[in-house]
Amino acid sequence: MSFLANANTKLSVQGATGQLGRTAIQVMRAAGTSVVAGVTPGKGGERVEGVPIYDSIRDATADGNRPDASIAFVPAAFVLDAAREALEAQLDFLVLMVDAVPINTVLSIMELARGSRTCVVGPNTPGIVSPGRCHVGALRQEAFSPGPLAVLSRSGGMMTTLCHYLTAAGIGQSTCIGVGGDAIVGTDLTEAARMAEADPETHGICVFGEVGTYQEERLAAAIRAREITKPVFAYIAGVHATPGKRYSHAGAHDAEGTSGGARKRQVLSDAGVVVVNRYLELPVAIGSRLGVGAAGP
Amino acid sequence: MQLLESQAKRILKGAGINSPRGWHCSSRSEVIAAAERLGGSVYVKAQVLYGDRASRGVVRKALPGTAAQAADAIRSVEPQCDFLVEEEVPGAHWYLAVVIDELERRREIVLGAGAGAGFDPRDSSIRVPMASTVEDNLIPALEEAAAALGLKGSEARKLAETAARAGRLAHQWHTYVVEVNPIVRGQDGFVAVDAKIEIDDYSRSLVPEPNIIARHEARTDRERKAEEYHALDHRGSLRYVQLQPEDDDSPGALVVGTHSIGGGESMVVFDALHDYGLVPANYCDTSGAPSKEKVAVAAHLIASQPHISGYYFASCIASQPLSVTAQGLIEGWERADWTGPTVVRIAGNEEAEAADLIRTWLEAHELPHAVLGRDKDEWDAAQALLGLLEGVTA
Repeated sequence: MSFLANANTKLSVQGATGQLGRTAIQVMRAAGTSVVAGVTPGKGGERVEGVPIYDSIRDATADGNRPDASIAFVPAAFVLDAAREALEAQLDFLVLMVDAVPINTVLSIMELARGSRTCVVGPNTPGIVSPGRCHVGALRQEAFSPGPLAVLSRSGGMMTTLCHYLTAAGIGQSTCIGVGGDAIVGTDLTEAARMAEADPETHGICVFGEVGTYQEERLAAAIRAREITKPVFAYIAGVHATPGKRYSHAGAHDAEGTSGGARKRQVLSDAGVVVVNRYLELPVAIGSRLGVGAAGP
Repeated sequence: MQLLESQAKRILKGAGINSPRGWHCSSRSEVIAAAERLGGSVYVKAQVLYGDRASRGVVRKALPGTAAQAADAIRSVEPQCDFLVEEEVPGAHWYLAVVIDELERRREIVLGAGAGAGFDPRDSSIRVPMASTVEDNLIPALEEAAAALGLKGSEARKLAETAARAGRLAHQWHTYVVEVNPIVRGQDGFVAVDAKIEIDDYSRSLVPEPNIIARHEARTDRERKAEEYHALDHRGSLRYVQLQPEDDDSPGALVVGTHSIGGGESMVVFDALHDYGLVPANYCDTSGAPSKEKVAVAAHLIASQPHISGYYFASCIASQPLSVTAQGLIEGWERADWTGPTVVRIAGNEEAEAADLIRTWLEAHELPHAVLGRDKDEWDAAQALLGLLEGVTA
């Protein structure tokens, strides 16, 4: 019960020798993820937590440790090079767990990724969690549990928080994707929802959205077009955030007063999404609709 | 980071895009002098960061003899604002923008026929995609777009060249938006009558002329202090935004300082506070494993605001060691001599230890307080703070 990342995923960690990379390797391996290579230019030959370090993904591949996905923890100044390397290797997916990436760098990465087979997630993403199968990132795994619900979030902290309460209510997750909090991201809510739609073992989709960007509006359009037919449940944060300000998430910015939370709630609701006013109402709404967890039969 | 019109026009000028003749003025007397120097019909425009200024009465047409009244009328709406005084440029209006299409994930140059206040570029515009570098020759495509909008020959060529300059500027200045609305065909070429530029916050240090954006930057002292400290200490994040000015004395408003862990959590907090009639004085997020000192700096900035009645702290289920956060909160409150009603909703790594530290300090200092855990949400916390505030008032 997962999509994008699964139990067979072989992962490389770009920026493996930094503090966050080391911590993430511990977290991911503890969750059972197969981390086959670390990549830090100039550090080839070292080991981190037992994982061999290479100068490049190409070197890892040549050494028989070809990854099929990668997560980057590199500083923003190096993320374009890291992304280029992963895209050239034609991996299945690339997670950019990198914060504060300048917009021109983001656009350059997206240009490289156009037409590529590699699915880019982020930047400014907490990663991907397919509970019990694959954990890509540094989120605390105890919040997550396997099950039939996809969780798609524009916030890393709130993805963990939602999954904690869903798990507590007995509602497990198939795959959780933090799409990233920036204004321009690789895989957006709609693209992630399409993957969830295609996964036969995902029965519903839970969304944490927020003000700014038009991701929720596009998701609503995809639902209306019946590209997404599975039940969708959503909480949209920041309905009462002051417009015109940029907050921590560069994407949570309603510059013109046209991408505010109230509008998003309305368009999603009009498309048939169950939209709640408090995120703690989600487990009950989901459980009763999907017949799972404490609210199930 | 949004720029004032006068800043945007300096950047446009550097890129070879002219604006009407005029001056940035800081006072009524400077407005009068500028209008007299220009002679003829002028526009007096408040230099503020919101859009649609005309309908709010802070853009006014005047003659040298009426410029003073225009300045007075604008100051009655925006008492602290500076002005831009420019000559009127008659001519046909066009629309020019460089925006980022978030679905295509690229910049696009937008050209439209007809422009000005109320113009919606979706109604009549053509988009030309840009590559992520500035090396592409966009002129032929832009010339074609200009021709499709009705411009002919050299006119189409000139608008295309101006648009290409704007595209290059957008790349060099790391912008989200460059908007020239309207751009007017004057005697000496196309002129940017109004202009808006927003620069990516993450690229602030990369812009070619930082002094232009530093000059009239609309940051408060607290916002500046938060940024300065964050630049010194890269552990975790510290983002502070002032929402209610410190001189705001709206009667009856329950203004509270807010402090959160997590960007998404902070958005939740806004909604929870609103539902209980509480007004956030500020936004502040310290997440991603910040140091004790970073949290202390944030807590001090928040708690020392003179216009807050209470302190609201909430975390998502956080991975960062919350006992460090708790120590930072206490340190900041002590520096600010904080004594007001306080609600802390804390959940995640080391939550029990953190809650104990906070509760002990609040009790020792006899502050009205509530310390909540993961069994309560942000709305419960807002309700608790409202109850404390009402208790203090009673």
